[in-house]
Amino acid sequence: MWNGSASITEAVQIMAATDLMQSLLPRRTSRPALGGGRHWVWGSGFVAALVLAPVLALIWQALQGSDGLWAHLWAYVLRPALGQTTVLLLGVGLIVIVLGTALAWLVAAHDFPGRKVLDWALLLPLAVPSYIIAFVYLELLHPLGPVQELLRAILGYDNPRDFRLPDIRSMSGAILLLGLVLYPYVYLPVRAMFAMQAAGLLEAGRMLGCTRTHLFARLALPLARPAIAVGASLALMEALNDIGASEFLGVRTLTVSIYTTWVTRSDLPGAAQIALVMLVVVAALVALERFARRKQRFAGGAQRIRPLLPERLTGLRGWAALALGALPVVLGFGAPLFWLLSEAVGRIGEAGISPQLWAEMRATLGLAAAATAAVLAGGMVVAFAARLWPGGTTATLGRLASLGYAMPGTVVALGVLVPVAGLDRMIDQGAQMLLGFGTGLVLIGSGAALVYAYVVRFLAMSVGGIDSGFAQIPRALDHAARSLGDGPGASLRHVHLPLLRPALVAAALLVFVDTMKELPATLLLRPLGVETLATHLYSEAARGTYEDGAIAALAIVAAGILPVIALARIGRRNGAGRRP
Amino acid sequence: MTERAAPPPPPWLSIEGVSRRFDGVAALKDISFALGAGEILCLLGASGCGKSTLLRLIAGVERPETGAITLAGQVLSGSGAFVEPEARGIGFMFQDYALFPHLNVADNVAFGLKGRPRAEVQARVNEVLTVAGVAHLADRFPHMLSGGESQRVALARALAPRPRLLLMDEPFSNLDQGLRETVRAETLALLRQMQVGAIIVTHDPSEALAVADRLAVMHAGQIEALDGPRQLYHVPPTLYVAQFLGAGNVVPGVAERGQIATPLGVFPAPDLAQGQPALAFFRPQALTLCDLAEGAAARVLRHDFLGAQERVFLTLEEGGAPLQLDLPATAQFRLHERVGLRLDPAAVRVFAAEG
Repeated sequence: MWNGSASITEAVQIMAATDLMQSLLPRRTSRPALGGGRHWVWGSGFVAALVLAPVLALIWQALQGSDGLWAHLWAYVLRPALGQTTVLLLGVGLIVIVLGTALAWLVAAHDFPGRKVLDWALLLPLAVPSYIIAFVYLELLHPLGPVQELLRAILGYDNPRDFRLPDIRSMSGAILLLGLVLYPYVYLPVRAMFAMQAAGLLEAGRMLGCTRTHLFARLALPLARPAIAVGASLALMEALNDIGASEFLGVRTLTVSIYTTWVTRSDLPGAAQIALVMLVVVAALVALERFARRKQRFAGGAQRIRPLLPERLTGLRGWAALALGALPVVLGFGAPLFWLLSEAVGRIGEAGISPQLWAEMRATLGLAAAATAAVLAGGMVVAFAARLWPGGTTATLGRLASLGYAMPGTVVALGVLVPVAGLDRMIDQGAQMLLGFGTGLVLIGSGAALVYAYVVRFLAMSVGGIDSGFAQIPRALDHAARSLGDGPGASLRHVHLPLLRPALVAAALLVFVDTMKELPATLLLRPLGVETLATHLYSEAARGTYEDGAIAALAIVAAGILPVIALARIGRRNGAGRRP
Repeated sequence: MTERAAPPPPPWLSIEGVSRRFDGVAALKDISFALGAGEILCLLGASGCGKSTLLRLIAGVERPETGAITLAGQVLSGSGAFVEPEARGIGFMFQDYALFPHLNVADNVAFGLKGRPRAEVQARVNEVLTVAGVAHLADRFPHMLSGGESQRVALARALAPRPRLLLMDEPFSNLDQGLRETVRAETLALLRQMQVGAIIVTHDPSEALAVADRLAVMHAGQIEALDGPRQLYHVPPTLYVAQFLGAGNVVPGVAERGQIATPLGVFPAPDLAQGQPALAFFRPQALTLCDLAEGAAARVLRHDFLGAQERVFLTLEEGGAPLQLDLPATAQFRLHERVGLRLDPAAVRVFAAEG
């Protein structure tokens, strides 16, 4: 789900990695390394190796399967799953591109009542993980649920057998719901593109005789193509990562197949083989994105940031624009939030908050805190090594350490399980020999394996965030600190850490929230008997019972709103260019 | 030394009473001026003075709140009318050039020629690229161009649709010093050759003095002065204009009976009230060294070698701020030497002291 991946921040971080955003930033002049602190580079190598290990383990594991099993797996599991996944990705891709681009153009190039609010409100569906939107709409659109009841009352039917909407549990239902929460991945970069880079170019187009009506097709769309490619590929990675929504809605994607092959059929090599296929799909997505941005090196770092002069829509057209723009927010955020709130309030009024739910909250927060600390530490090592020794080696290590953002949670979990289980056996046997008693599966049982998976999955966020934090600090300060007698470590403590605080806080927030929302890896690696809010919701939805689920979902959505607000503020700061 | 103010050309573009505010802050206050056909006008001012906003109003990418803009008899904006920027026939050159990154040079230049027969577009593109000296770059993409090449392509693109007027926003500021003067001279020659009038926004006084037929100095959202460059430099109407256009000296005095007395002489000040504090302004080159007996006594404080000349800073023995004067590099003087100073009274402008 969502969680994993992507977070928004990730989106921003990855965008920052593209030429698109880089053209907006001042060129960094490369300076010779200061030298010293070679061990930071070794540390960075270690972190990168930690991220790579699960992939290698996966390949090794996949090779264990027998040929006969493979034929069976291909015919009965992999081929249908691949087909379903392809259809899902095509559908979601179409929806997020159309919706994200159209909404960005609506808000960027037009002025109408409520536009300023809509500008950031359109990001809100990011706060709703895909498994929660599916959970909510299964209820809302149930034949006996509120929406259909209301429709029947209006239309004068009194029996569900006489009138019912098409079942949401279908491929088209899954495409619609995923599109509804994933379109902000396209909206965000395209909107930023229109706001920050395109204004001058669109003005230039108009002054060369291009009318407003032609502007979108002739200039805006071609200019936005790289941003659309970045956003759509992120959204599709999220869709690929999703486990809850697809499963609740009856779509047997690759992710769902990995889960069932592993958990239900206990076929680890088979699951690993599906996971490898999934990595191929991811690689194809990345290649597609690269292709879509080909030749799009944006020239000129000198572009002044200037707001686009919007076309004023007055009267009925203005209100129509608002209604149209608000629809995705209402469907993707407002309605789910409202329903969760009313359900949660009802549940708390009846039964209070159960001790079990409190325990799950503690487990969720504890895991998220541990993961955040580990992710920040790893990201700091990688980013600081790149600061000390700028160049090919540290840049490559940084990219390797960031690989996890492209790996679906189930794939990471599977990759982590193999080496960690081996390690657990070694520890157990060692303890038995030395101490006379076994430790059992201490790494998996303690949650360390899960935290490791979170680190692999989310390290990209902290590496990217801390990296861009470093980019804000002039290198002259490093030189000054060193010439005043600080070594690399001391300069990190005295100069960089204090200046990096905002970047660290932002990265921590993102990682923390994404960890809270993470479902696929958590589902597979959580210690026996431990439930988090996300897995609680999953099991309730899977069972079809709806007890504390709304409260758990509400807590996750509430946490998810925090980074969206932060993101909206960043966007506003960047978008509101001062006039010359 | 002074030029006669040129007779105002028949107006081609006219701006009348244009104002614009942003978030309640006035960016332009009641601007009026006219531009003749083929004339090159420079808008000069410090950053934030409103010169770019004025340019964008003329282009039509901003709307004025009040006032009217007329080009060749057609009302572009004012009294309810508003012509969209694409219909104005006005070319615009951006400071950052705003070349479309997804189009090559030829397609960038052809962008404004949409709707014409293919052969005609091809011919016009070749023509302007050749005139601008960048025909060999036709297949390149913007990110493959140097600063000077981008500037020429942007100029070619703006001129391709034969605009009625060309607006240029700091068109040379992204170029290196050496390149800037070459490109500037070429650009100006091209505009004259094509007989296109232009409004050029700049913050660089020497650039404005060099290229403008007429020069408008803007300050705090208003046009402080508009005249020929020589006239404005030598006979500035306000102290702000005088100081903005180049180095100068200021000596204080008080108006008495229509004149002010200073250590460097007595100068007429017919417009000032009795007892009003005043400032005498003059350029460094209006001062000359002379025998002590013939001028005001001063001491040499320091001197900066500028290559072609020596800029000397002196203080009057009666006190006051240091004065500067320019001497040939071969001039003989010593640090801390006592010298006499003489001022050409015709080069002195007297202003009321503010505050």
